[in-house]
Amino acid sequence: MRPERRSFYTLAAIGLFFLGICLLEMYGSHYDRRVANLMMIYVILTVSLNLSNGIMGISSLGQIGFMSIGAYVAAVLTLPAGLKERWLTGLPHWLSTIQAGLLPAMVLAGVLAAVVAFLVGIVILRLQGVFAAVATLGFLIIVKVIAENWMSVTRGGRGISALPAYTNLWWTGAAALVTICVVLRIVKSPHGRSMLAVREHDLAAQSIGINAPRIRLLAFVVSAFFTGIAGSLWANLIGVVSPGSFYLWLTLLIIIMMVVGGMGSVTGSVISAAGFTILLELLRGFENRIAVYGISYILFAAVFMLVIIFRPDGVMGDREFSWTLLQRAAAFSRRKSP
Amino acid sequence: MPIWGTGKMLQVTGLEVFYGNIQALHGVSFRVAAGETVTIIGSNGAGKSTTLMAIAGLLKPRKGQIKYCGRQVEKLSAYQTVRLGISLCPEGRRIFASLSVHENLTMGAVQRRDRKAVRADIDWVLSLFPDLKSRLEQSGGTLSGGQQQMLAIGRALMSRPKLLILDEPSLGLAPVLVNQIFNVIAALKNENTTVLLVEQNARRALEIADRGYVIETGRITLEGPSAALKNNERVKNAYLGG
Repeated sequence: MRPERRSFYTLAAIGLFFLGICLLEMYGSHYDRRVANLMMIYVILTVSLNLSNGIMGISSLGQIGFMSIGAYVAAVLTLPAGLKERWLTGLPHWLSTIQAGLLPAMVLAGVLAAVVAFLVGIVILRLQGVFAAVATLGFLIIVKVIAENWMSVTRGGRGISALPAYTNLWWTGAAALVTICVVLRIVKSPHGRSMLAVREHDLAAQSIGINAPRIRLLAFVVSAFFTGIAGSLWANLIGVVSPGSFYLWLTLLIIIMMVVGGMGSVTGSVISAAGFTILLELLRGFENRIAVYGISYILFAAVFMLVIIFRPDGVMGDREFSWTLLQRAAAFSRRKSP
Repeated sequence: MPIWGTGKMLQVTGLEVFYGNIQALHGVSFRVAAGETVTIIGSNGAGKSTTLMAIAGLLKPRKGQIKYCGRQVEKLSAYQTVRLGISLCPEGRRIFASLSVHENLTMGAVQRRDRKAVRADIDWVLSLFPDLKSRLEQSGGTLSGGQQQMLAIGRALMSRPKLLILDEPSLGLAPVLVNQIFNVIAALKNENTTVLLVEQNARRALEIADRGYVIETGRITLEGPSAALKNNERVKNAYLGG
């Protein structure tokens, strides 16, 4: 397929995507929009987790810690000034008298998460495998404990509520699109190749001159940046941030989404995050109807186990979607059908 | 044959490397002159690979000096030593199985920005290993052991090293393939590439090298011109099978 044709299709797909957002924003119910927003946030979380854990191969369990940081940054920035003065007494004066919009909150949430990832990464990324997993889990616990106890800034276990509902589909959709594009761009760049090389054979990659610690840190920091942004969108969607929201359940959820989609495939992450969001909602409806509460989680886990047993590499493995692939698949099915 | 000691390219002095509390090298010293082929022979666990990894910057020595082209390099990391022209082809091949042969070779030039010259060097590597030519688009994991070893050496050559370090290139290969590998080392030698070769196959290594060192439990115990080592009684008994 000619390159101009491919970029035309890509632009058309992006156009359709935004048309869908437009329609949902105009005609969708409150519930529809909420599910769609959550879906976009899960896409951001899963794709950025895939960058560090799938593509780069860091065994991180601390990803949601960066989401928590992003969410709290956004909460502190976007909370109305009057409430800030009453609740968050530890803030410096200049911060407690302003109320930021969503864009500056998102950017700062991402940047702060990235800065923390940089500092944490310098120390933790020396470890590998199970050791990295335990250390990053430790990071997640530390973030939660700080959020629970720094009363004058985070309001502790009560959390920060009454956040303005800035988040809408335009924001989450655009953020998801940017995340996907940036991560795909990295994967296809020489950096992406280096990541793959380090993941496959750390020693061999280093011996041909790849600076393995630096490339790991790059993946970790970029991943944390987008995860922080997802946190800020979440905060202004749900309206409440509390320490318990960003903990083991979300950690598990995005890991499952990434593994089922395929570790190393951005396409897989997008499909899987979108699919699981819908599945979870359907299961919840089913649960309400039969009034056996908690069964949706059991079914959810069962789906996960089935995928792992029958398709251990996930839906996509480490392949990516491309128009050429779609064309080939279409040609294949045409040949088969008559 | 080059005269030893002139044009010193690599000078290792009193190298001590530890794995945790276990000392692997107890003051290893040797030198390699420019254009020379030098071999280090020794049994399993004697410290051969450890020595090479310390030179390449993959391990940091606790004590001792590594001087390369007049610079101290013992504190540098691997990506820095590659930039200076040291290239290690690690033991056990370790090619990137999911990348194609062509991509593996390109990865070897990861630090180079001169794309034209890189393309020319791929042709050069393929002329050294014609077996790889027809398999350029095949993924590395589908190659046979011998082809993988050729690819690994080719990848190491792609950084255009001044000093090529080969760690057990003939390990686990059939005799025919061992011949092929050693023919390539001979060809590189003729092109004046400096080669530091570690081998279990001491006979072949001493045939091709100008000088050799024997390493035993982390210490250099013998050194000399290859011809002399080949006829040394101890070497004969221990490494050449009597």
